[in-house]
Amino acid sequence: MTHAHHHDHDHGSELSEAALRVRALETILTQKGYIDPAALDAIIETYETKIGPRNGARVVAKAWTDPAYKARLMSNATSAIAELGYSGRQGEHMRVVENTSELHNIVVCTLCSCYPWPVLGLPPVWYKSTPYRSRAVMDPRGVLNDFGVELPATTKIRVWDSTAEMRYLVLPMRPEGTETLSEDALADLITRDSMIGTGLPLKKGQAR
Amino acid sequence: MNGAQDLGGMMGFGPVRPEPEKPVFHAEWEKRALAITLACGALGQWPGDRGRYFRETLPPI
Repeated sequence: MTHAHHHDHDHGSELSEAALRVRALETILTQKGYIDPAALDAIIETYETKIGPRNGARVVAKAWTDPAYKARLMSNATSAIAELGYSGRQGEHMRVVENTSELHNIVVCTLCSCYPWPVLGLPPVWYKSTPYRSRAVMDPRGVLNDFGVELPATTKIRVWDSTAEMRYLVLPMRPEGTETLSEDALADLITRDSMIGTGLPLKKGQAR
Repeated sequence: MNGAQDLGGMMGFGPVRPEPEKPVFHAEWEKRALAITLACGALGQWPGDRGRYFRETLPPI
């Protein structure tokens, strides 16, 4: 059995089983000269501050405001995303799928946790979890309900199953009444979940 | 539809539990585990397929 991180251990100074195991690994790998704790710090900082869903939000906001960019994004997502400086690990081959009033897209990785890291960062726990992976394909509307999202019955839902090779980014619909907003202000409306397809962008005036 | 694309047809895991965008990590050990994994991948001591094989031998829950 794996060990979920929400558990019932005593929370004193005692480290959890997972924490002890990770600490032991880091210690022995450092002592053997395989890894450098300072390099680990740099990796962690990168995923806490540089690589995350704000990158994807910039891509979407630009696509909403720049038709030529959107055209490039839809025809070759990998290179269009790289134009903004986002590329590399876990995003080598990207495809953007566009939501419309007729079609809503949802991304899952039923096998494991494949996710477009350069634009969305590390996958949230629910994305990797068995409830999401077991139901996204067979019951996408039920999954959307878990996120508090209800789409019109006339909107079709298309589910994209990610692979090690191909990663997807949902281009959500631009909220109504945002014609005068700047690209930066639009980016603030774009949530991580709206780019996975399990959420919708915020409305104008809603704080993220 | 309920088959290979749905965790081999396994069901009954309960609702999806959404979480906010932050924090990225939920415990200190998660940070170190990610960084160790990425750093060790750069050692080039095993191919990606080998890592994949061992991940897939883990039970799905």
